[in-house]
Parts: sequence; structure tokens; C-alpha cells
Amino acid sequence: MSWVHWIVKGAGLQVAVVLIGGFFLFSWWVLGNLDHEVAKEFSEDRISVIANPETEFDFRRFLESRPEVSRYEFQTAEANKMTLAGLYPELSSVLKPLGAEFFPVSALIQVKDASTFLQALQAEVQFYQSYLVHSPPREIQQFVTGSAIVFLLLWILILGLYLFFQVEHLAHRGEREWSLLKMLGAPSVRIFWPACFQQMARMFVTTAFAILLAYWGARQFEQVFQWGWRPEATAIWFQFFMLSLLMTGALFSSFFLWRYRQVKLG
Amino acid sequence: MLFQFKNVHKSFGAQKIFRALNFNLERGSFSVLTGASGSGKTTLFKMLCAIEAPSTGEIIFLGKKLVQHTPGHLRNIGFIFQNPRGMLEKNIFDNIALPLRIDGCGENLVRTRVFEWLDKLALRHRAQSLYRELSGGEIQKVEFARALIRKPRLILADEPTAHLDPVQSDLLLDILWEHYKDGATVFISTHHAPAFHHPSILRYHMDDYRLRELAPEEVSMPQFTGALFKSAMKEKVT
Repeated sequence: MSWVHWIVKGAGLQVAVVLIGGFFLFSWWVLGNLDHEVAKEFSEDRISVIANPETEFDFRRFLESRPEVSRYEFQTAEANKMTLAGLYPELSSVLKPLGAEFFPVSALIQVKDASTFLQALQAEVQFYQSYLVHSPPREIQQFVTGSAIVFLLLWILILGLYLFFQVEHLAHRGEREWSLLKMLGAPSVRIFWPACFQQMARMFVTTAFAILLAYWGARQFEQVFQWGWRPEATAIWFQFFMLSLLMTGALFSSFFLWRYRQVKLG
Repeated sequence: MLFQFKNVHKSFGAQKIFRALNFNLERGSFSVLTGASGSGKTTLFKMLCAIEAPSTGEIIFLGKKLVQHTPGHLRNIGFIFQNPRGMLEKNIFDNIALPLRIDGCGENLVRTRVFEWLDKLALRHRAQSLYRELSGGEIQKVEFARALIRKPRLILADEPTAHLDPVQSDLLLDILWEHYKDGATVFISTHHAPAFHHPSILRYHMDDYRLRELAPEEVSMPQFTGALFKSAMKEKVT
């Protein structure tokens, strides 16, 4: 029952193309959301800096001059004194008589690149302490980007395997006819186009299933993690369709030409 | 000169096929090649089609070195195979029509030409029969029709009548003779001793890795019974 074996093998690979394609689209969707929604709020580093109050003027000028600073909240020495007194009411009798010169100035700064900013800060401003308050979830983004790339590569690999076995199957079934056509001087396109269109039609349906799978997966994900998820962009689906058909055409023609050359004449 | 073999050597691994083969095939000739099985007749035909390349030496085709087969070169050759090569799941009509469809002929022309051939070979009633349902004789007729429907300028027939009775053989040889009269170059290979002769026919024999043209005294007396052949003989006598 070689045909049953072939159907199982062919169908198995086709299902794999659907699954991997679906995973790729799903990862792409999560990545898009991380970039545009979830990470938007925390997309930049936040640094807290405590500085000598005598350097307040220089510190402010430094913050205004740095291109990597997006925005900052500056706290004067007086404001810091009041904040401390508010935080520790039991110490207010001690804190209130002290002059503002005993308290530092501070700033909560939002920067695009924390390391560059901190290097410049060390060189130019006298400060007591600085520490990174927040760093964006780059690991999650890297993980999702990596997943999307891995799924894309896997999808291309599975698609290639599927098309390779399809060409082998066609060659095995039609070797006699291919040999005869070659002997009669038929151009290879006579066999290539019908076979290629058939594969492209199959891949069109397969891609549609992959998109449906990704869509269903996204809806389930939204229900589990209730966030402000953005819907999938239809442009991505269209691009995936085009990529799928282009890859099918490119891989199928390469495998076909390689196999067709091996068919003997006479 | 259609083909020129210049000092051609051919071997498959340790097995030698040709040694220093020098041979010319004239345009518009009718040649018969004899030789034992395995003497290299089919290999010679494949070399004429550029399917096989010489191990050393060169083949000149119409003044140019023949390097590799091209669809254009193959389209000018009508190759009748020793073993049937038709499409098993297609009917006789489609099998015979295949070369014309490859050439992009219109369906009306295809139908006319295919039915001409089916009538000539008494196969019209079998037009819709599948190739795999045919008898050996019918298959050989279909092979003939498919090879010749394009009216090729070179016809290579590799053991074309090996599995046929004398009547069928004569019919197919008559068809080849008809094409020769129309200007085609016909080259037939057979391992049987030829049972016919005509002064126009060139005779070659292959043995000891070489090709030798037979002298007239080495040729047996004419016994060929085909109608066209008989009339050709009559013309020659008168």
C-alpha cells in the first residue's frame, strides 16, 4: 500500500507546514504587540540619580544637553527634604530644622541608552549615586523574535521537505512520460507548469489553514492574558501568502529542474 | 554530409563499444545496420541523437561538432525504439498526437494528421484504446506513427520489426521507404540478417568494435515483399 504510505507522509508534512506556519504567524503577532503595546510604556531605561546640591545648575544643564534623555523629573534639595519628612513622620522634628544644603538633589531620568548616559554622567557631573530603576523587557522581545525566526526557518525547511518529496513522487510516477517527452524535444516547462500550479494551489490552501490556526491561537491567547492586544494586520497575512507562494515556486522549480535533468533519454 | 564520426572511441567502464570509428552518414540515404546483440547498434543511435557522448573523438553534425542534445536537435529526429515507450494511461490518439502537440500545432491539424496515420496503420477503430491494452504489433505501429508524424528529416529505427510478423514488417518498412523517397535520411538497425535489398540501400555491419560498409557481393538477393519496395524495384529494372 505504497499510496497510503505516500498520503500519510505527504499529509503529515502538509500538516507540519500548517502548524509551523501558524506558530510563525502567532509569534509574529505577539512580537508586534510587544513592540507596539506592552513594551511601549516601558520601552526606555529609567535611571535614578542622586547628586550634590551644589551641582544642581550643572546637572540640569547636563540633562538638557544629552540626546539620549527623553524626559526627566527633577527633585530639588528642599523637595527631597519634604519627601523624606513625609515618608518618616517620626523624624520630622529632626529633619525640619536642617537646612536644604544637607539634602541632595535627585532626578528620575528616562533615557534611550542607559550605558551611554551613565558614562557621560560619570565624566561630567559630581553625583553620589545612580541606579537603574527599570529596564525594558528585552529578554521577552528577544525570545519572541528568536521564536519567530526559528519558526520561519522551520517552516521553510518543512516546506522544502514537502516539495522535495512531491517532486520525487511526481518523478517516480511520471519518469516514463518525462523520458519520452525529453526524447521528443519537449521543453521542460510543458511538465513543469502543470505540476507547479498544482503545488501552488495546495500551498495556497495550506497557507490559508496556517492563517486560520494563527487567528484561532491569538483569540485563545487574548482570553487567557487579558491585555490591550492589537488585532492581526491583514497586510501580514497577505505578505505571508505571497512569501508562501514565492517560496513554493522557487523551491519547486529548483527541485524539479534538478530531478528532470536526471531523467534518462532513450 | 549529415553526420561524420571522426576517430570515435566509446566505452562504458571497462567494456569497449567502439574503437577508432570513422563513419559518414549521407543526407537522404537509406542505411541498414546489422550486428550481433550488444555490438553497439543502440549506442551508435544514441550518439547520433547526442544522448551518448564519445569517450574520445568527435561527431560532426551538419558541419558542427555535436556536443549535447538539445530539444531542437531531438525534434528533427524520429526515433523508433527497440522497446515501447508510449504513455500507458493515454489512448492511441493522444500517444500519436504528442509530438504535434509539443510543436504547438492546432487541434484540427492534429486530428487530421493523427487520423491519416491511424488509417494508414489500420488502427482507426482503436483510436480511443489505451496504450497498455494494445498487442505487441499494435504498439509497434503506434511507435512508428509517433516517431514519424512530424515528418522528421532523420529517422533512426532501432530493431523496428523485431517482434512483428512478415506482413506487419513489410507494412512498416514500406512506410520508412516512403519517407526515404520524400527525402528523409533513414537508418535502421537490426540483428537479423537482412532479407531484402535495393541498390539504393547502404549496408553496414558492426563487429570487432568497428563499423564496416558491406560490399554488394556480401548482400543477399532481394526478397522484400512490400508493395512500395516492389514498385521501386520494378522502376529500377525498367
